Amino acid sequence: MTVSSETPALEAHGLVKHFPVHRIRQRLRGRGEVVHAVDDVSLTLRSGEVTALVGESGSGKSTVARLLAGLYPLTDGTISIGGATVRATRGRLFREHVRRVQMVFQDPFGSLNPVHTIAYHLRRPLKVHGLAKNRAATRAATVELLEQVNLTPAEQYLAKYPHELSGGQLQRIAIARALAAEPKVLLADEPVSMLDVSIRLGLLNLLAGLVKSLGLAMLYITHDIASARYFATTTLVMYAGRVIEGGPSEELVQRPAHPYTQLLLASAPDPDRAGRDPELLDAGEPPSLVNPPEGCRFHPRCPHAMDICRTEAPGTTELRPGHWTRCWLYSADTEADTAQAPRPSSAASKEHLT
Amino acid sequence: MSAEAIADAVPEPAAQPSPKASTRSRFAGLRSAKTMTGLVMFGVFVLAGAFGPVFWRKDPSALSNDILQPPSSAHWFGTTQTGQDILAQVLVGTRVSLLVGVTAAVLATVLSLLVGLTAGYVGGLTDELFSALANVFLVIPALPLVVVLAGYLPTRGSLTVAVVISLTGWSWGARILRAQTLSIRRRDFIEAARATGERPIRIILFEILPNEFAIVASSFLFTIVFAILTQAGLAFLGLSDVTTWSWGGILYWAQNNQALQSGAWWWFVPPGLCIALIGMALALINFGIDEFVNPRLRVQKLAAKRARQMPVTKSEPRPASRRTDVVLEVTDLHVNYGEEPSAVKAVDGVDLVLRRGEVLGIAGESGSGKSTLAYAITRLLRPPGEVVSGSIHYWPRGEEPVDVLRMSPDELRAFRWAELAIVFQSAMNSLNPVLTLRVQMADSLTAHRPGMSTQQRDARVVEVMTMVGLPADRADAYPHELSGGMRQRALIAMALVLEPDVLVLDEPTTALDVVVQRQILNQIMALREQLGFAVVFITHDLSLLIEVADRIAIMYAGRVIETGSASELYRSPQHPYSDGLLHSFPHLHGPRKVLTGIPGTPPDLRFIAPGCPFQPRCSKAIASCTTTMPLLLATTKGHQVACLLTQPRSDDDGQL
Amino acid sequence: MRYLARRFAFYLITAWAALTLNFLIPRLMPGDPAQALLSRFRGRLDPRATEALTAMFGLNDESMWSQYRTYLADLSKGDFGLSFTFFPTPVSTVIMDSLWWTIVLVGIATVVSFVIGTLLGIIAGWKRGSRWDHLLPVTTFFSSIPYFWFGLIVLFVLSGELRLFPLSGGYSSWLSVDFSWAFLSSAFKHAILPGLTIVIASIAGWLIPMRNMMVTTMSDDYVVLAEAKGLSPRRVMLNYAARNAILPSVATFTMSLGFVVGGAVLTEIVFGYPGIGNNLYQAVINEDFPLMQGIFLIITFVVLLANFLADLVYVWLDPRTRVEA
Repeated sequence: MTVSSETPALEAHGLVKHFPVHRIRQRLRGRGEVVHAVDDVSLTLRSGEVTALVGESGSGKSTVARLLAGLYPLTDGTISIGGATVRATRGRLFREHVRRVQMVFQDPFGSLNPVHTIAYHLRRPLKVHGLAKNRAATRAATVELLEQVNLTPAEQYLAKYPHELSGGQLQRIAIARALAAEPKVLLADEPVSMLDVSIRLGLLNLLAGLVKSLGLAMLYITHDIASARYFATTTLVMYAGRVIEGGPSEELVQRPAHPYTQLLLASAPDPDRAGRDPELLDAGEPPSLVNPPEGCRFHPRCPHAMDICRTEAPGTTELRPGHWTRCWLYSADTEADTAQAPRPSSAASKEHLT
Repeated sequence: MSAEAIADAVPEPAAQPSPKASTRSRFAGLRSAKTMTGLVMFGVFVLAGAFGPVFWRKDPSALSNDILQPPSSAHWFGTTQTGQDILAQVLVGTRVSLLVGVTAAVLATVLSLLVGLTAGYVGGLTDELFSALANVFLVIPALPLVVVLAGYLPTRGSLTVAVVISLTGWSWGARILRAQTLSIRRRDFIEAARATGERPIRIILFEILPNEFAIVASSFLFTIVFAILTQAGLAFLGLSDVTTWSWGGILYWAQNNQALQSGAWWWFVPPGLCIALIGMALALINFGIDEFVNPRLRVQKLAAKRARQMPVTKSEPRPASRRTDVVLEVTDLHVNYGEEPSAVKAVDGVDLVLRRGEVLGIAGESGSGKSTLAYAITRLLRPPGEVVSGSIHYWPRGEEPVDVLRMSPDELRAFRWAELAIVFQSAMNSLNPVLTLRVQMADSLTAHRPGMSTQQRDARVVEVMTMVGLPADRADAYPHELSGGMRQRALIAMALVLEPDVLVLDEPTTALDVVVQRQILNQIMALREQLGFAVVFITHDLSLLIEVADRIAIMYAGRVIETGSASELYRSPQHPYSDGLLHSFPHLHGPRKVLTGIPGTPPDLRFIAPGCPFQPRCSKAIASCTTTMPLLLATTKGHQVACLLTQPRSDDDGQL
Repeated sequence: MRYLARRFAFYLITAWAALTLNFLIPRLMPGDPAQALLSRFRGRLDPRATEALTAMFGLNDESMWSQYRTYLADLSKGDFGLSFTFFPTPVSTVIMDSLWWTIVLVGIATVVSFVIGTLLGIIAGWKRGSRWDHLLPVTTFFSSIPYFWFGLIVLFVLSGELRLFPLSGGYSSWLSVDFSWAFLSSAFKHAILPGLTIVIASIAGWLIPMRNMMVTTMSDDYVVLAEAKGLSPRRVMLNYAARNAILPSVATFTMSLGFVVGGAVLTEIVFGYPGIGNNLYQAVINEDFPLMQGIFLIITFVVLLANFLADLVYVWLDPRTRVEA
């Protein structure tokens, strides 16, 4: 059923989002400080495929989702859907955009309005986008949506309020709401991280099934790189507002190139590692995004940092087909300089970092 | 008050209320005795204002010869100096004052909604300007402004006065509505509504406004009181139309005719008392609304009393262990939330043994009782949580064991932190925001080692900070000046300051990012090697526990369902739940295969059927699982499982 | 101190807003009240006063803008115009004579009420569910009473019937105002009842929010952790719970103060206290608009000053406001 068409479902190019820090003072001084939440992010989502965006809190991964969903205006960059560029933050064009791009939020308890019933939540997108003509059709459509996310018997859920349901059930309802508009693209912002461990996979499997059966293009945002490996075809790694590595999930996890990706993998919980002596990794923390470091934003924490890393942001280097990184260690221009540096190709890096 | 904050504060069982119980508790605040009293009082006034003048058919302005009569059957409230009937005046006054109050409150509420909702929702410059406007009106004292305004009024009828009062009384409501709107706007359901394609006006009216009902109501009632009081003040000054009978108007005439001085208390007392009573009625209703908005305010009277007592058991339980390497032993611990028979059994007969220097992992999902267990061990349970029975024995080095649950308040204070310290999940919330790290670390030294000098305390603070990798110059920092990781380090340093034997870690790294989590875990484990304390590590993340723990206990629905060494549990889990949990984590290595997790939802402790609590989700359940509660029994040495599948059949099924 | 600078700027803006409101009210009221008043006053007033009134209401032919400039210029010199009641005493002199009485009385009463209310709130919150909870309905009742009504009853019972306190005034009339023992003790005696009225009527305004904040704060993790550290209950209550619970009380001092001042002004009238409230009463009775407006401005300025003091306390209490960001 996979429709891997030539034109990607969604393409984003050079996305930039800066948030002003203080409005009034900014006006008084002409130009104020900004938070560089997202800088120069490009990505492609294809129908029937899951793309994972991995990063820590504050890395800008949720902002990317909100930019794609049209919830924040872009500072710079372009988003195109089905090949056509979109620029809409309000009005009819905006509603046309969100009909094609829908979002599922992290916190199921927070993303449903406590004062409205489940039926109301599912009815609204149908009404807003004029997808159901009359009462009977609306009801039939909501029941169908609930069945789509395996909440049966559907009637039993319609009159309930959010506080009467469990986190897992609420998240399924949030997914059903997102599907109501019959979108092409589904953005899932940490859809399972607030849920109990034992029910997370059930939800991920449901999403995987929907991606296949509905031909959705899905962006899966997570901090859990193991779940990205499990769930996504392609994985992108974000650090301090930039995507620093991307590639096929399995290859990225087994042969990480960027020192940050290596650190992330070495830090992830891994039962197979049990019993080994704890080794202190780096003690650093992500930088302030008000004054991000010059050059490569990871350089203050990077064990391999070179002079050039401190002054110039690295460009994209393709390592293998589809697998690329932004790191001077792999850039052709600096190849000569790094001859003596420990080249963290996968095998060597493992020894160093685990 | 955000719902998350409340959910955080209340241990697990309350987090997922059941349908029925939650509707009940949702409005519990509104049904308290205080609120009902307030509503009844207010209702009486409304009825008196509406129908009083109809039934008490005396003209309040009619003069008569009954001058200054005390209350009698003809004049229930007595008469004025000109023989007017005071009850008639008060009844009409009720109508006028309520009308002024409600009109002013309606106008002020509309104004404050307009300003508050717009400022909070639109944000940016609009917000800055609107908030500044509201704040300016809030700071300018209302009464003098009303006096000046009223002084210039060409007419001073009740409605005009109401308008003037509303002009000065809207800012308070606007301010809190703005704050509330801001906080609701940040909630995900507003983003979700926008992402659905809802129009802004619909979001404001249908998504935000209904959530502000309680606060709007509270500010509405508050404004009624404010308006009635202000109107009375104006009337008393002669600045409203005193020929219309309002409560303030009656007082004006009473005062100008020296009512009190001539002993005519019946003229002076009733209107003032009416104002006080209606103010009190509305304040009482507001108490209920406060408790509705902020459930923490609800008082748990009975439980509060009992929580201070020792748990009642017939004979003092003896610790089962005689071994010398045990440092903490929990025996048959039961913790309930609420009163029997509807009590929720959050911890239901837990036995645990912690040996010196080992890491005991406790894994479980929501409703497993793992956090309640941590609170019970540290005796930090708050009502309605209550230890019903059991014992928690602590072995001081080379001494007889003591039961933590039976310690006197003084013994308990001495025991805490010196022998057993705890680190909570949220470092930000665990640190006192207004004290420096130095003060917060040193005060446990002051409390436990009164002999220490200031220099010695400072030296110790620096020592533990260095131990956890915090630069010593951060000692004088306030919590908000530190990053999340540094705060968690500070908490660990704080926990180690008295060199306790036991460290309880309640989800210590869950709120942190993967990399920082790893840093902190490594630090804790390195310190344990160095200092030799034992760790109780509570988390939902079984994969992490397998990595760091020596032994693991897995909890489900308030019970330990399997316990054993970490490696054995990882290699061969015996309980279907443990097995399912282990297969709920995608791995970084090995083949990518489809994992299923566990079907169904974690248990709701309010509705636990008889038999094994995991049975509804268990794919291997047999008939007896629905009737027989499996006991935790040893399968191999050091490995115990509570599952009928691994146990010899119980007697009712006959022999094996 | 960014925070204080911001607060200070806000108070400047508020002061300006109050000045402007004061300027606009007589000019923008419907039905041309100024003209009506002026014709009512004609003949009753000294010609100079009429002239002053004409200028004050903007009935001369100057443009609004130049009136506004004159108005601000006069005010900056401390010129609030002439009082009709005490003609030809300038309003500023009338106010200055009474202002100190009010500041001392209301200031001390407010501080006492804040301290007692907050302390009771701390205890009621700490021991919630105990008998201390009865404080709530009782103080609520007192806070709903109109100050002036309560004052009159107190006056009637304690001074009129029991003759424990003087009936009215700020000091015994045969004494001169100086720092003699006789004067001070007399002034103290006269201040007790009005002070007590203000304290009793305003105490719930501090007690109830404080108690609610205490209850809320007590379930915060840092208070639980303080208990887990084995600190003495006293220290947990004061340094952890109350130390944080008091912050909103100080931050919303603004709102409560405006309330107290309004009530206190009426209380002064009841007790015949020689403060600014009595001036206001005189002004209202005599339709002395320059005095009324002057009092409004002065009360506003004093309240702003008090708020700024509260901000200083807040900065001292909460290190988070000291962030240089």
